[in-house]
Amino acid sequence: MRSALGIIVFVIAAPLSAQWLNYPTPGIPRLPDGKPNLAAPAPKTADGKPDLSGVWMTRPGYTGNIAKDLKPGEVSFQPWAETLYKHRVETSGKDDPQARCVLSGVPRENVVPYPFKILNTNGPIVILYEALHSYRQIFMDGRPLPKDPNPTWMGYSIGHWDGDTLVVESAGFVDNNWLDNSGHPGTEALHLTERFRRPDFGHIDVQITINDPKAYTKPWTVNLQFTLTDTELIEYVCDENEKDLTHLVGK
Amino acid sequence: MHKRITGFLLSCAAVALVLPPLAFGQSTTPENRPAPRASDGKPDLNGLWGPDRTFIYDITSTLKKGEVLPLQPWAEKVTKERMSNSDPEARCLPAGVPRMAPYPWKIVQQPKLVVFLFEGNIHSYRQIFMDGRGHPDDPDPTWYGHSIGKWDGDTLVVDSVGFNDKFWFDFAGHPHTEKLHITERYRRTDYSHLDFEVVIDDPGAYTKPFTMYGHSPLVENSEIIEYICNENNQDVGHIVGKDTRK
Repeated sequence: MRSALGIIVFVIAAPLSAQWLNYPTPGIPRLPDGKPNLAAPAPKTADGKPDLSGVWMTRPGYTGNIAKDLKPGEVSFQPWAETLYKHRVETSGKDDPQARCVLSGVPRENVVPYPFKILNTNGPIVILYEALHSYRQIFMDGRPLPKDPNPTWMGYSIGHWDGDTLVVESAGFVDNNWLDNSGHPGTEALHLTERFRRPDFGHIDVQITINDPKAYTKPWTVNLQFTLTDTELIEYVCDENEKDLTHLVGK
Repeated sequence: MHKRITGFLLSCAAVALVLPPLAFGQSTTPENRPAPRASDGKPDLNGLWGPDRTFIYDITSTLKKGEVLPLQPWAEKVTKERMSNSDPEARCLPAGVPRMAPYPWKIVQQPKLVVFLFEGNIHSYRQIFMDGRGHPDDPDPTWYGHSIGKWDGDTLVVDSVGFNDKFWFDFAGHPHTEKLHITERYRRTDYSHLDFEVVIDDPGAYTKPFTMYGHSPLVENSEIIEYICNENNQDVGHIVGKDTRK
């Protein structure tokens, strides 16, 4: 239900914002017809590492259920987490913090139907999200994860390169996390491993392993794909004229 | 006037207690260390910067001594009438430009894009395009506007249009219109200081352009923390709207 609303907003917003979006991204290799050549080789940074920068969209279909490709039993809930998940599904996500304009958080930002921009800087890798106009930092300076982090929606993320793959380890998440719109629970015990690989100019393959022993009896892994978009982020201000909440009545 | 001011004082006290040498404006870095350079030879503005408090409460205090805000009569009236409980910022909406929150902000500088990451009032960001593009002909009005930047010697010059007329310039409620055009000039005068001048040109609300002067100290050995305004927002119920200036 929320994803449907989100998609409606997205579709309506796009033409209104054409003035912003109609700016072809400089530096994208193009086909003779002017469209981005998504099959061109992936770019590298000056130090020879893959350059993940660009504006990306997740392949659609995972907003509602991040685990939609998994077989039954692969997501093995702890009993309390299964009860909570069923409740969230049955009540159509009426308690979803995101409906109250709280950040979607991680890993949910990877499945929202809005673009995001990855910046490869000399310091942290920064991801700017159109959704809720938020951002995330991934520290690349070799620091460890903090021992006792303040719980946050984005968590605390450190990254390193494993060959051509960016490996990001994250912890320090809130205890009432929603991993997707249907409400797969996440807790403060969540440890997330994301592996990002850019096989060509137009795609990033992402493997996300969710290891949360408080909510699940074993880790589970999902595979997503980002596609490069030839556009720019627009300003999404959730608190402005928010109309969804009163329609989320639950069952 | 605002509970947030108390919160600010408390948070300053907390920071001072926990991290005595690192509180805003108290960097231990020698004052005369030169500003670093980025790999492209431009001044390197990357870093975590403290807020300039004059950009929070009343922008009159950002002007040169003796100057007054050139408010048009309607804008003066609106400022007097505005009650703090109608401040969009108290409802977790973006503070806009160039208003600051009493929290640090981070500059992420790349040759073709400069990004400001804000800790608060909302966990948000602003993009400044450095790739030579112009402004859109008819931008959608937004809270952060459309910003393009270039280097003028060692000064980053940011030109912004496309603002909505909703955000307030400060707690005092100074207004603006969609005609707002902002020119910001940022200069890192030494390792630990960032100076900026902000020219506000809004023929819809002010009789002539005026310049705001700001100073931000480098905040070292710290990081942005996650400020979620919508989570457990306790302020808005306490902001009852009494105007203490009357």
